Amino acid sequence: MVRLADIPMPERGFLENMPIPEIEEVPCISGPPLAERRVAIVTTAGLTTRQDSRFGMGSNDYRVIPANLDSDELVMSHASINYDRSGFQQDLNVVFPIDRLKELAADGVIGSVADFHYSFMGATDPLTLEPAAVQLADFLKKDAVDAVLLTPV
Amino acid sequence: MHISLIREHSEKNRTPRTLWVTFELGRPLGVPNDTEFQRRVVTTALELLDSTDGPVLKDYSEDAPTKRERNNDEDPWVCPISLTLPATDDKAELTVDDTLAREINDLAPWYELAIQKTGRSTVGSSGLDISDAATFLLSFRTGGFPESPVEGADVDRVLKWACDDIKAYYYEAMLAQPGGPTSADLDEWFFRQTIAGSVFFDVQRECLKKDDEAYQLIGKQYLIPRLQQHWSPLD
Repeated sequence: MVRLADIPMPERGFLENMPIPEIEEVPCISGPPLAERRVAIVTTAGLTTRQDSRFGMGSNDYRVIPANLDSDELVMSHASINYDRSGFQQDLNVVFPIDRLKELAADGVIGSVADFHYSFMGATDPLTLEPAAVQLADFLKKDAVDAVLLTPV
Repeated sequence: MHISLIREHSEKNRTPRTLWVTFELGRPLGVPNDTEFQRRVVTTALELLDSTDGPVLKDYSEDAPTKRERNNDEDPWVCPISLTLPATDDKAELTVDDTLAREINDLAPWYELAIQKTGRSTVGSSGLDISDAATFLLSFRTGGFPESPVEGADVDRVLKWACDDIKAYYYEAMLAQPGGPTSADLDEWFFRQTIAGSVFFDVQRECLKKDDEAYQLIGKQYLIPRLQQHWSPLD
């Protein structure tokens, strides 16, 4: 179990003092039942395919991850070294739960899995991600996605 | 919906639907290779879609045990292989380059086994093979600052990615072995017991000597995790 209060200093101090932007409150919108939803993953884990350019410090763009990509084709180029990567090294799904979504779709719990998923690199000012996020939202709509699972590291 | 690893941050940014989990940073789904555990987390997050009176910040009820905790293994983890120096009458003649190459070679069978077990490797951010990544890292150790070995990529970025690759190689090799090191076990082993870890500290020292903003940043933030900094010879 890890809570912020349990994280040793100086890491805890860094996280406690991290500036968190105030984001305009967005109303919750109702939608179709979960069993009819098309779900995509958007992660801030800094994942790229081996063919894509890696993320650098402060990157505010994103990379596309096709749903059918072989798991060996993904690498992590997150700028931060202050979180665990050994979970990801053992199992992609602990960060990017693509297999869990496919199983839930096969079992009828969700409607379907999006054809494309996306990764940002989270060690940056989140407000600088907005232009790319707006563009990405348009891609998600074109893929008929109506539910997004956001996963951090 | 959003999985949150730090409740205090989510209280401030008030995203519409958030599931806060008590898992360690880097593991938003909690437990690697535990399909049912991960499925419960994903399903609970997806069920937040039913809420229309947000922002919703739900506390997930289940903690994520480590492999050692699940096996009731209370003994401290120790590296189960000996990263020995080569047999020689005069070990003083061995360079750091030699011992790092030997260490990487000693881990190679375990790294290959890890790939067999998981079907994948996360080594590859730099585009260099592991021995080239080590050679590139060593070139910084005594104050040399080489050209970028990767076309189109700045040398400081390649240095960061090469370090990521070296750590991934070592960690994946350890994770293939019997027993269950935690992430803290792996960090402490790498930075306190391996030649590679000591080279990271050497390179950090050289980066901080350089009058260059990019290398200063690398030295301060991108080589040694904050929780391992107290081992630095700089202290």
